[in-house]
Parts: sequence; C-alpha cells; structure tokens
Amino acid sequence: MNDLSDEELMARCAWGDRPAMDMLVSRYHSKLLDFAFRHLRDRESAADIAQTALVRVFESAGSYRLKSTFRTWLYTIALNLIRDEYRRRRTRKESLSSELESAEGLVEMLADRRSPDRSPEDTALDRMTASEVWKAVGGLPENYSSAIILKFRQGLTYEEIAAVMGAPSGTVKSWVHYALKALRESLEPIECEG
Amino acid sequence: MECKKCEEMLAGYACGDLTAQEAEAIEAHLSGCAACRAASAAYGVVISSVVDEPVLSPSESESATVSAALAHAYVYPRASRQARTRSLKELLGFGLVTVAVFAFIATVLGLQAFGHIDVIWMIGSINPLRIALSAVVVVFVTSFIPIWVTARRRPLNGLTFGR
Repeated sequence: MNDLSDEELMARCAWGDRPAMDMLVSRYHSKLLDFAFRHLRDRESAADIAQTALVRVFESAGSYRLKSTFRTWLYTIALNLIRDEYRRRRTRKESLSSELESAEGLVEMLADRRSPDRSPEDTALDRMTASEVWKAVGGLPENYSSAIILKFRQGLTYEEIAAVMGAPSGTVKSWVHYALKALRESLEPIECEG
Repeated sequence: MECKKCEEMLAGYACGDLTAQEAEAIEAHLSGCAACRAASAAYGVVISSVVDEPVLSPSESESATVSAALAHAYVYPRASRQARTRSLKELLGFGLVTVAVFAFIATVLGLQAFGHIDVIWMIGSINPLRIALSAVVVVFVTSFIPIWVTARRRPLNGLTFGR
C-alpha cells in the first residue's frame, strides 16, 4: 500500500478501506501538525487543527473528486481552519498581544542589527538563528507567511500553493519573493558597492 | 548588472525561479560584488532556517485522539448523511415526474370526454391490438420512465463505512 498515491488511497477510503485511511494519516498527520504550528505557534491549537482537518477530509471521503490533488485539498481545509483560528483570536484580542510582541521583537532585532555602533563581528549572519527567522515569519502578513510555510516547509509547488490559497500562481510567487526579501532585510541590511 | 537590479532578483534566484540566462547574469555579478554575495548568502541562511527546522511529530496522546476521532468519522460519515438527503430528493423527483405523467393523461382523457379531441380517431380505429399497444405505451410512460430517471440519478458508489 506504500506505493499507492494519495489519490488512489483516497479512492479506497471512499469505499471504506480503513488501512488506506491509516496510511494517509501516517503520511500527513505530522505535516499538518507542523503546518498549523508554524502559523499559530501554539501546540495545542495546532493539534486541534490537524485533527479537525483529518476528520473533515475522511468524513467527506465519498464526495472527493479528482478536481485537485489530495494534498492541495487537505492543505486548503487546514488553512481555512487556521484562518478561522486567526479570526477567533482577533475577536478575543488574544493574538494582538502576541503579534505586538513579535513585531516589537522584530523591531528591536532590526534596531539592534542596524545600530551604527555595532562591531562588524556583531553584524555577521552567525547570530541569526532559526528562532529569529521564525519570529520574523510570524511578523509577516498572513498570506506571505502561509506562502513561505507551504513552499519551504511543506514542499508544495507554486501551482499547488495557488490552489490552496485561492490566488494566481504568479501572485503566490511574488508573495514568496517579497517575504524572503523582508526576512533577509530584517536580519541583515546590505550596503551595495555599485 | 547593477546591484539594485541584482538585489531585486536575488529572492527569485534563491528560490530557483529564474531562467538560466537570468541566473547566469546574477552569478556573474555575484562573482564581483561582495555585498550582493553577502545578501545572497543571507537568503540561503533564511531559507535553510525555515527548511531545516525539524518537523513536529505527534505525541502518542495526539495520535490516539486523532485515531478515536477518525473512528467516529468512519461510523458516522458525512457522505452517508448526504446520500440520505440525496435519496429524499430523488423520491421527490420521482413523485413529481409521476404526477406530471398522470396530469398529462388526465388532461387527454378530459379533452376526450368534452369532445375537444378524438383520441380514438388519433390512434386510428378501435382495434384490440392497437389498444393493447397503446396500453403498453401508457404503462411504459407512467412506470418505466420515472424509474429510469431515478436509476440514472442514483449514485453507484454509496459509502459502506462500518465498524
């Protein structure tokens, strides 16, 4: 069963094949968990979203048609759940403080890195850590951070990301480029020679 | 190539989105510009920071919760609920088609009774064989067409999820 594609496994799920469902769960549970966590930075919410996305997918197994690939369908459901969670947080004003915190952190980091009295050693990229990058990703607009996560964490193509996010693939590509540029500039401004 | 132009294209270069010609131009510029080389390296560090972070693995309790939730989804699949709703719609469609057919027959008989049309003349003449054939046609129209319409709309792959 390992060599079957996601779509073939999903077709089997529609006929009640439980091992096929287990195989899809083993392929995607941890990816979904990671996908949600990179957006929300909260393990509990991420676990809830991964679970809800999987349940929705298999509840709707009978209505699955090969209009899109399985994983774009799955990530679309997960992204919608993440957006719902963002909305809930905004409503509760919970995310405001954490967003401010991450934005303040980013501003502090920028100020620190751009400070003229810093030694050349301090400006080196070796101080850049993954956690700083993720903090900066958290400060990006939602579409940019989702595009970055789908592209570099989940390995989706631009066309697949476009299908998941409901935007043209050219727009998605520009989001990814803009986000990378923003992340790079936030971490190390450059001075050109010519 | 100027640094400004190079800077605009570095993100695309880091993503591998440029054409071979554009990539060559960038590489030629990078070989002679330390600042752009540093910027290009920074893109590499940003991307590897995003890519290399280990993927989260579900804990045992998270896996168990998902398994339990999926078992419930299998027992009560939404698809079977949709199928039930669909069969109600089909029943309604069957009823409407049958009513329409009977209304048509009643109209014809009514027009015949009041002398507006002469069905017997239309059929041809009083001939037992022709009447029998007409009866067959009426039975076919009133029974088989609604059944055929319903059968065409019935899904072939009804879900059979179960324990």
